[in-house]
Amino acid sequence: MNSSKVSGPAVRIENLDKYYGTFHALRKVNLSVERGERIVVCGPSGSGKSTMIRCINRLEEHNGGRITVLGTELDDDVANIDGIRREVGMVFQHFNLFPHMTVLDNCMIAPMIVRKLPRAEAEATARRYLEKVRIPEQAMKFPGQLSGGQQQRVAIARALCMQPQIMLFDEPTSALDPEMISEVLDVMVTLAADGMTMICVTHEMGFARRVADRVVFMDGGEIVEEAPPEEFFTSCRNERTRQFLSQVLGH
Amino acid sequence: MEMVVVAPPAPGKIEDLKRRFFATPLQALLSLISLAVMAFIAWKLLNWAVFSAVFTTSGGPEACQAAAGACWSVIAARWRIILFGLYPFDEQWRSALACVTVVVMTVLSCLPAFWTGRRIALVWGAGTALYYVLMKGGVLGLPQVGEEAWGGLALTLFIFVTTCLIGFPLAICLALLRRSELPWISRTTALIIDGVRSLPLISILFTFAIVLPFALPQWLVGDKLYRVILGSALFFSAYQAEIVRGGMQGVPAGQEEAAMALGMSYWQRIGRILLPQAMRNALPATINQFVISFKETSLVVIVGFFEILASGNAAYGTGEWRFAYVEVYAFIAFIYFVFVFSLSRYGAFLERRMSVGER
Repeated sequence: MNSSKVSGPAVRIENLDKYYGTFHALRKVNLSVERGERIVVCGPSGSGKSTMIRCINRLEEHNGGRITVLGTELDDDVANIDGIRREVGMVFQHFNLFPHMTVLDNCMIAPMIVRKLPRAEAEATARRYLEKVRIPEQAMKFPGQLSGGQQQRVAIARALCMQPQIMLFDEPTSALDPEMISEVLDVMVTLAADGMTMICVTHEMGFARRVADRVVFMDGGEIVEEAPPEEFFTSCRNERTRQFLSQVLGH
Repeated sequence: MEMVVVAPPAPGKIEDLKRRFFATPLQALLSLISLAVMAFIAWKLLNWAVFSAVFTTSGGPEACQAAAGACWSVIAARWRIILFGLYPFDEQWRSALACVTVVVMTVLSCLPAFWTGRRIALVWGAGTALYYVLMKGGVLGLPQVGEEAWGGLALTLFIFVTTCLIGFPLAICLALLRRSELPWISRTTALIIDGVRSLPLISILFTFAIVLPFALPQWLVGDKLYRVILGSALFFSAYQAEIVRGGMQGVPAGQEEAAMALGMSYWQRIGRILLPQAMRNALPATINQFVISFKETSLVVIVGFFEILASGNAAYGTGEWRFAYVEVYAFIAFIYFVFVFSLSRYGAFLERRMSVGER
């Protein structure tokens, strides 16, 4: 997939519908993300924000509408799905590191078996990104021996080792102890400064203010409001957004 | 991370024993009585097994019957029947070599250095081929010996190893099929597993040995031994499949999602992420299943195979050694113990090795 040469937005979501049984989780969602853009998605729990970004790399199958990632439309074609997953990195709330492998192997396995990189090259890449997330010294440890913040940084490095063009973050700091949140956010800020296309589901409004190009607010499976952070935090129009912000920022 | 750990002061060995067993006069009395009983039993056993036992065949069965202790001369006289069954006497060195082959093959494949697809395949391919050539003969100037004459330890090991060799991959397939998203696949697999599990092993062996030849075309029937092995492998796989499935359920869903998000294909996710973790979870139950299967090989006697237990029966059952059955069974029990105990220790080693990095 030579998607880097394809022009157009990184992600385009049109009229996305998603049901869990009879529950309508996403209702006609439309979102377009340009290359290099940083989007923060927020909203109350159950609002569909995680579901939406999980549709982008097809961890969830959508029931209606179109999702186009780097010029390729997501459909039932497994080759398309695998191709998109190679270009889209994801960081999860619960890290989901592979506990039976060392930190280094966690970072090397996908480049080696998916991208077919030679071992030496994969290891060099892995060490470079572990350096970037500031834990090169933990390379030979197992995930279970690291703190939550360290594990999440390894998870970011693992995703970056695939050299993705887009990074998805699904509440990356929600499972962390307060003192570890900033070390993860710092890494994400660095990443944003490097020009990575990022879609982050998070409640870290400080982060949104600092790095987001646009903040998207979702509620009840719909995008209620989207605006640049300045505008979003100071003059949001919608009552639901205002209520949410007062709850998140209120103390 | 370097810290000086100071352990609480530990009581001495003697102190500890005193506290545990001689805290009160009554406790001391009970401890002494138990000790005396244990010493008495130990002495009786030792006396029977060693001091009053007969070890040589020179006196024949009569010398044994005169002695008060164990008659180990029956083993000295009949060990070849126990280990090799009805295998032709002059060719029994082949059966011995075949046993060694199976043991070496098993030990090699237990070593982490051999855990790559190619090496394992090489070890098992070469091992089973060597076993077959040694036992069956008919080539390289070795006289041919039919499967019906195979017996003793060589047969027990062969049935056990081939059962696992066929049953284990089959179990993994069944476990994977059972968690298929297509309901008709998962339900059919569940039906097969539950069906096989609800039948006694004896009836399966009997069906495969005796009934199947009537149902199958002639060219598909094969020797009874291989049908019996297939039956026992099927039985093994039904149980092992559920063990593997249990292990898979212990792997969080996030693991497969993470693998998917990295672009891994189905087989990469299964092979690199799901199964390694599932097998770690399933290890204790898996060793259990291996141990049970090893001992269940003795059931093949009902379809006419002389594995080690049946060969043992034959060893004392003929004429002059009829009285010495305890010694024969003790010897066979010892052989079972050596194999099963090694298996258990290997399981413990694997558990230690696999728990690396677990909190």
